[in-house]
Amino acid sequence: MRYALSESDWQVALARYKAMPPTIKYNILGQELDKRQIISNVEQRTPAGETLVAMQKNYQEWVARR
Amino acid sequence: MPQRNKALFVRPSEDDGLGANRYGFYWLQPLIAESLRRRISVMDLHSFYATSEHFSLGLSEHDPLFVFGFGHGDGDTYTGQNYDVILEACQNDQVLRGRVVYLLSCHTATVLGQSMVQKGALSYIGYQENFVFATQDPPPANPLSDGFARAFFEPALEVAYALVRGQTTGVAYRRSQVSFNNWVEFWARQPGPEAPFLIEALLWDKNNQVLIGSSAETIATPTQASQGNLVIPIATIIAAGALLAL
Repeated sequence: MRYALSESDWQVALARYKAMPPTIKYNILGQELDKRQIISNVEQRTPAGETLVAMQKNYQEWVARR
Repeated sequence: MPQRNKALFVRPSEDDGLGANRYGFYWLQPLIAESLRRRISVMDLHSFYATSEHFSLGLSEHDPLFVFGFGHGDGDTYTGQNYDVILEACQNDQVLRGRVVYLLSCHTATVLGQSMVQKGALSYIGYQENFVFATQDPPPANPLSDGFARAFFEPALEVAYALVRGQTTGVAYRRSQVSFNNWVEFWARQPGPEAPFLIEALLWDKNNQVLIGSSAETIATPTQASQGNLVIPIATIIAAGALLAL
């Protein structure tokens, strides 16, 4: 694992991505991920899933600082 | 010796099956147009020209001071069309000696960017992590009209816009960072349910963008944009495929 992610980080991110509107996709260069694929990557804890959870963690920290 | 006011752009297309490249291919077109307006001599390695063979030829024939590559990457490699390896740390990155490089690509800051600067590249700007951008789902026919993608490509491309307008690498980097911040603030004011997901990706890209090497380099002589050349021959560039000197 490249990031220091806790079990809680994974669960928070999974809940957040389940609430993601289906009108937005992410592109991680070389990979297009719609909502269903984003959730799948997080559930299966793939490398792309790690990036997604780390992004979500960054975001939560930014919200807390605002 | 690398030539001022000369640039080489690499932009693989969607022909290689990677949907993300479609966006980069389109979003670089206005940048190329602006470069031409600024009297930058441009070599545009697009789609099937975005290969190591054409890259090597482009550097030797065109000898640009500025090299901008869009495409898939990892720590030590940058790739073009169909994952063709264009740059690899400690294999061929010495060809960037004396040049300013911007790679809009994943992870290359971790190894390749550092390696090329150690081998004499003047400045490198790129990303330590996956470069992530958002698009509308379903996407519009024209990527340039995708309002979500705009929030990512405008700040990411600001690096290159600033450079072709004659600003230093340090200013170009800072302008890009400010533009990321501005887009974060823009989306923070929007009520739509997509906003938090756009913000998380924008913060990610901003925090992972780095400048390695000199912050004082310029690649172009500041000029007024050419008023007589407002219709930019993008179609000509695409048709010609490779070298277009102005």
